[in-house]
Amino acid sequence: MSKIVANIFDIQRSSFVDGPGIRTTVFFKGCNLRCRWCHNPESQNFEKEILFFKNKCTGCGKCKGLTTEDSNFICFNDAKEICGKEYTVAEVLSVVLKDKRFYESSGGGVTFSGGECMLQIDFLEEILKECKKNGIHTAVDTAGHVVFEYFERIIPYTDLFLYDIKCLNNEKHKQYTGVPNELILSNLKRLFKSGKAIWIRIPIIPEVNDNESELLAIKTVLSSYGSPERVELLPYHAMGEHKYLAIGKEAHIFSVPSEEKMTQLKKLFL
Amino acid sequence: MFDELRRELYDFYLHGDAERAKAFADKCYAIMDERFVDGMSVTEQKLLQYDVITECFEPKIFRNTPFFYETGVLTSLSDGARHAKGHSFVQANGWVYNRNKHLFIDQDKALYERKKAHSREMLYLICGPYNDTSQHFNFNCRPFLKIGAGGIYEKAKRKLSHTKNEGEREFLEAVCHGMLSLKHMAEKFAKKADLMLESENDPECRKNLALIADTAKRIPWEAPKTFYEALATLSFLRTAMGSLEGVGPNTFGRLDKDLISFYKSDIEKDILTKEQAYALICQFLLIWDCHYDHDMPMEGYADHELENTYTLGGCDDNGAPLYNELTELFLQATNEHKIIFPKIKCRFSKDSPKEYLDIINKSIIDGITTVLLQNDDATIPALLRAGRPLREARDYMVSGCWDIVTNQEKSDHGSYLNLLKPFEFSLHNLQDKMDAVGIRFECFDECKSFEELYGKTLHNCELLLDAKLEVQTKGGQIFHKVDRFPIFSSTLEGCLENRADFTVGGAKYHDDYQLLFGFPNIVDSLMAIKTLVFDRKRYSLAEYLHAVRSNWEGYEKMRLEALHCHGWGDGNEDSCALANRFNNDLYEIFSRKTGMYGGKVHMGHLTYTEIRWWGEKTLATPDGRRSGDYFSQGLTPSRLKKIPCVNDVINSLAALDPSTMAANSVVNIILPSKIPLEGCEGFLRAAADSAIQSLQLNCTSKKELLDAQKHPEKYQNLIIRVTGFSAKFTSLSKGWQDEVISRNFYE
Repeated sequence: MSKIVANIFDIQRSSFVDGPGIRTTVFFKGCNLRCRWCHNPESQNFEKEILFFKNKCTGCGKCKGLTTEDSNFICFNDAKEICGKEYTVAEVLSVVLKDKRFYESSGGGVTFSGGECMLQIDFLEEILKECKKNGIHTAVDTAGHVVFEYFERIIPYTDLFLYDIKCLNNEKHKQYTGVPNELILSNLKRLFKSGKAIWIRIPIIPEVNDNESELLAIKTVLSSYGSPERVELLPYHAMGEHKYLAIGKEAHIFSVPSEEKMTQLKKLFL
Repeated sequence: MFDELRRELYDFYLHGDAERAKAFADKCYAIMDERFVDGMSVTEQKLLQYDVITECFEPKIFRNTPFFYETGVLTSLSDGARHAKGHSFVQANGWVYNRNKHLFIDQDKALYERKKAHSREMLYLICGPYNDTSQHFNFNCRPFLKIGAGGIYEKAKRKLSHTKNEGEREFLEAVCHGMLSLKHMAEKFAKKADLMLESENDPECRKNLALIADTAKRIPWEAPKTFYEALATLSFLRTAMGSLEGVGPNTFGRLDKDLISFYKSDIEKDILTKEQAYALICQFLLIWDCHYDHDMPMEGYADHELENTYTLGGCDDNGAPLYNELTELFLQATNEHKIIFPKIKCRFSKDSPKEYLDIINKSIIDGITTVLLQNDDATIPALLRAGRPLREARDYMVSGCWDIVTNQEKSDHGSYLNLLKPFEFSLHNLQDKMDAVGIRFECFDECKSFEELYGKTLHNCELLLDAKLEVQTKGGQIFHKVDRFPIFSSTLEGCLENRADFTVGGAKYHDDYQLLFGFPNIVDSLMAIKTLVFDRKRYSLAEYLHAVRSNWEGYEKMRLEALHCHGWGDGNEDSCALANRFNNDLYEIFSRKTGMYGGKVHMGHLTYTEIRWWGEKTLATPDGRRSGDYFSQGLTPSRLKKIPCVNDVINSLAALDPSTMAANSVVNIILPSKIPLEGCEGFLRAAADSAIQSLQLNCTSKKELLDAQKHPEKYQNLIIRVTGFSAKFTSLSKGWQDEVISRNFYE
């Protein structure tokens, strides 16, 4: 197996939210978007980082001189952790294979997410191939802001794409994510043509897209591209706030959409 | 539609039940004492007890149900056991036992004293003098459904005509006598219903009374012919057997399997609709559930539950999944009326129908957790290895809290073996305690290697088992002189054929079931010592034992290291290997032993509320646990181990050999409340492929439970699985709520 490595900041097993069935979600570190609502701010930088949760620190001093290369470091109080670890394809695969019985029993599999997993395309292509060789259902969760050639490389080994759409207004998109949306939309259009299963995921963010007209516009665009298997509306939550503090950044706090609001918006896609 | 019934039942069961049962017991005791003649055999005494109770009891009939069963002999929470639960008197059904129980002590006073010392030091728990002689009786109702009490009577009569042996004749005559007692009891209900009809004006109630007046003349003497009569047979027998025999009939059996032919036949004949069947099921379940006030605070030992159970699902005799309209109706009724008692046991496997798992899972996700899940894929192999034929193994049911039973034995799951106590005595070098219990456990101080320490751990487990088996064997040998159980025995396969009561070995099997306590904490402790002392040599054994003996005070860093060592449930290769080795070695020890009636000795990993009571009184352990901390239950990973992924728990359980655990094992798992239905289904199918036998599954979060503590008014419908029973979370005492909240949540 190839010696290529990826920088991964988390591997979450027993996930029920990143595609069908019970899944293992592999979070790649590094993203080319800077969504203000991002609940995984530690996923944005490509480099390893030290997360420091001040409220858990007892001042024991065990972490003195800690660097991002001390990958085996464990703080017994969970106050400090190294975010990001280099994994080989074989290493990721061995974690993924641990839960094969769960995928088989639930129609689940593995989901590659991030960050933006497509930005480590060589590794992604390899690991997808290996997973398919082992008969595992594969999903790729992407914001889609990459060259389409990357999609072409992985389409043969990907069973499902989880594709994020934020908003159609290009200026707003730039303002809130740091990038325009033309490439994202054109990639999605081309991806539909490939015939692959696609689930559209729309984060519902007050100020940005939590209104019927925006969502109806997205719906119209989507229907002109093709038929997604599913459209999921994901309500904004502020649970990533402590992680912004842990990497020394300030979180942009939005209001949380109400359950009623979510129910009302979800009806648009029924 | 059922409000009136609930009111009527609550009026009776929640008011004055103890006074009623005590007054009845006093009356019967006076008569029985008077009629007692010196030289009466135990069986003759038992027949006297049958006669007096049958003669004296006053049937209580509820106008809003067609079922007749209430004898007034027992307190509301009694399942038939002699002692009135929560009160200090013995009910009328305990007369014979009470007269003769001194024999258990008299036969070997030193042993009795030793047993008392063992119990005081929590080496084991035996719910009885040597065994549970009161509850955990698995009455087999099938012969009554098939041939009725009259059929059993005829069978015994026929055998009697070919029997000369005096003991055998006495047993068979007693069975006949017992069947006639049941008949006379039921006839009293018929008469009472006739009497009530004279003054009853409500048309619905008249219908019920007329049905009782007609049915109780025939049932249970005749075998039931309709679905209603089958349910009436079961409800009558549960209370009648308990009232006469003085032991708790803990299960109704496999209701969907046993009753489906009655249901189908009624539907085909057009004398029953699905809706009518559903109404009957609701009434049948409510009469037991209303014995108990769901808001009663749960604090003590077993004072909060009614040991009535039934089993659904699983497979048929050919191994095909069993899921029929009755499975669906019983589950629907349980969910709609939030029935906690009878306890419901749902057998499942990787092949269970989706609809079946969805009904169960939806209820659990909605926070109405009344179900214990029992995994066929792990349970059946264990029964096969225990020597049961395939057909019997497939036909098992779950009784009591989690007793795997078949219809061929009085399988007793009323005793626990506390493996942690010898471990504690050895770790802490508690010589005084060893003197007190008269067992010389081997201490660990001089161990030069992990292998030596492991060997001593196992040896100590064996010493403990031997001590308990000695008590059980001696008690078992004399039980037949204390009490006899002709009615109960006649329901067990083998007793009629062998013409002998189960207390003299009449049943087809008489195996012994040992339920082990402490497996996860011992595995974690061994892993920590192995890793930190022998492998990494971070500390000497003396240093480590000193830290444990100091309750980790001044050794917090060492304790944190211990907590971070690999341990049971984390999926690590080494911890799985050690757990598997320890379990298999225990199995080898148990399989070499002989039980109290000369049968096999089986093991499993289970306990009841001792996870708190024993935990609170056990010193620190090498896994990082402090003195007094709660223990884990069964095979549930320790609450001290941070295992973020539930898959690791299942993968660890898949490393154990389920066939070693014929006495059943339990695992508690709490999944997120927002888990999708299909996720829950997938989880169960994956869990089926592991050593999980009994699964206590809840779907909730720590946040939700903490909020329920603060705002109980918002969580009045939240029913959770606690330990062998379910309860409203808001009815649990603060201590029990905290115990649940301290469990591992996989979010």
